Amino acid sequence: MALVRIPPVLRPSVGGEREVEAAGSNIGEVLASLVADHPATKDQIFGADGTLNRYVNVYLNDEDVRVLDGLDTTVGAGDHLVILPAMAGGS
Amino acid sequence: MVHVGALARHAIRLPDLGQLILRAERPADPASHLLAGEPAPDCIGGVSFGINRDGDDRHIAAGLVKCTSDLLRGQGADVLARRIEEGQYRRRPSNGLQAYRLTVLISQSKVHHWNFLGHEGAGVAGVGRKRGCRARDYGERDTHQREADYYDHDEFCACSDHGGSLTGFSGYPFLTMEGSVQDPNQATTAAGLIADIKLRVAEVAPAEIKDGLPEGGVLIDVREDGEYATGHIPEAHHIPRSYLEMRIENIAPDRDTPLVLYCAGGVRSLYAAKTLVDDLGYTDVKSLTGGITLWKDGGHPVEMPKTLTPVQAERYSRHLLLSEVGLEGQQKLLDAKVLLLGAGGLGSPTALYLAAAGVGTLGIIDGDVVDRSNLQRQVIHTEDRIGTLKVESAAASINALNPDVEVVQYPYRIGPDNIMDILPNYDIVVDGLDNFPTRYLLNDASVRLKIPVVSASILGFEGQISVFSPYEGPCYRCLFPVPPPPELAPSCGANGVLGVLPGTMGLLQATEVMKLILGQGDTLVGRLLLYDALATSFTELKIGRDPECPICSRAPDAISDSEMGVFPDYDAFCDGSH
Repeated sequence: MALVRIPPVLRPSVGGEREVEAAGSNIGEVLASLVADHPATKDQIFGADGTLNRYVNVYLNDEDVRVLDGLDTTVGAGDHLVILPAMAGGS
Repeated sequence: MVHVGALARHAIRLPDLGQLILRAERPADPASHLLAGEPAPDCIGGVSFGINRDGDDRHIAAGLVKCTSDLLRGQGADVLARRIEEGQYRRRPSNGLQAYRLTVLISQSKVHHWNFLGHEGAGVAGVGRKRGCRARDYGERDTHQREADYYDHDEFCACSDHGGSLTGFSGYPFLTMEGSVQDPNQATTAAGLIADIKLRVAEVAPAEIKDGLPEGGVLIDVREDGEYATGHIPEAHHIPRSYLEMRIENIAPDRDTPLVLYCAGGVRSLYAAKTLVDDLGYTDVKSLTGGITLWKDGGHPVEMPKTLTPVQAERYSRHLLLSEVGLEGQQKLLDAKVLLLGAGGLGSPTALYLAAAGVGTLGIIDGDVVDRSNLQRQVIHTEDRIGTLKVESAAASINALNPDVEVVQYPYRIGPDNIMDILPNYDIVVDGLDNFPTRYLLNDASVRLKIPVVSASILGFEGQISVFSPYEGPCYRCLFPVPPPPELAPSCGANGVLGVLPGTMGLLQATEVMKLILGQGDTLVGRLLLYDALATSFTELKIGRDPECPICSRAPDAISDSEMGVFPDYDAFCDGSH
């Protein structure tokens, strides 16, 4: 199980949790498992074509998965995922 | 100068800090003086230790390093050997001769440095111990025994109650030596001391460094504050002589850093150089001949430092104490021009602290007026300024805090029509914007203008911060190529924000700004820091440049003048149409 950090804007879709556990051996599977558990997150993470939305960055531990193997990046037990959408609040 | 030849067969008694400079010439055919199997005189580093034992010249050329460390065994020899292995024993060019420097322990409490000057492959000196203190465990090997014999010989080695004695030899046929010896029976004169230092510390002429120091070199002005204020050599660091030992490591932590010191006339810098070499182990220290006086006479440029007024010196005294800031850093802060986008949650603490720190020019762009709902977090504004322009309110607070700061007010929103007029006036931009279209506009403009942006955003209990330094690290678009759709990008106005959160994030921004101005520390370039106030946790993510970034992957020269101020419709871009 990997621990997935949920950004503030997605928390309403996961019952308010800041972190949730999700199963899977790679990034794609972990995110699919997250979406299966919390269907409201689907459109926010994945586009209609099933790829990651471009405005969402996913980090495995501290690395951007786009510079790793993307959705195919292997995830080990105890790894941390960070889902990071842009925020613009400043005032 | 005493001709050491005349000292042969006489011991030279030295005080603890005595020194002998030797010049030796190597014979055309040194091998003819060697026994079969003896190491050559230049066996170690080109310097050899030769011994003429009672007219019997069979014993020569034990390597100096080995020899001295062996001689000193049991008296700190480990220290000596280690220092040599670490490279204390090195060659330095000087006046066409090769100079060799050796660190030798001649008393139990002090390490002394000896310089040997000689032509390549030559140089002979003996360094002995007080008679009777010679190492007792000699004799394991033949050469050791002979050295022990030597030092036991009255004719060659006299004793010093100070614990050290030194003997020069010239009886050996291939050696001629000359040098200066400090006479322990006569107090050293200032002139004598300088002469001795000059033999050991290399000097450079102004012309040699007029085009700058060698790669990695550091120029240091060791004069007092009042002298420095009258003008200094450009690029010089200033450490008054009296603070040298305390501060040098901040500027040159590496002992092999090439250093050039200067003062007014070239004398104090010699003393200073001696201190760095002898006491702190710097290996490449030179003194500027004639100091800044000769530099000026040569018509080389002098820079006038700006000085602080007494009031400023008091106001910034805690900065002046920090070696990372100091007078130079404070001047950089006073000269800096920082543009704050927004005098809101993030802009308020940033502006106040940058103003307090003495950042000389703060531009503030904000078209809003102060609203009562702002005061829960926008600490630069006050109850009695509700309804006034935020830029005016911010300027009032800043001026009340620090009259040194010039506040430039822009009482409108930044947009494609004005951004290219405003940004070029600033060194650094602080992004505390509250919407995506303007963040993308700012990114695209700042990349074109190569101005670093310290960017933060906040929502609820969480904040993000990074530094986008064009072409050095990723830009905002590398991180977020497209903005999220509006339903996933709520504002603080819609979602709420913890009042102190912008304080935390804004002060992280202010800290990054100061580091950029001062050139100190590691900034957040290439890193995104997330702060979760509820969990009190920081998460650091690596962010890299996107080779396909539509903005910063283009070479700056490839952007034409006509393109420079032309931007796409960011509102449409951020509308979710992508």
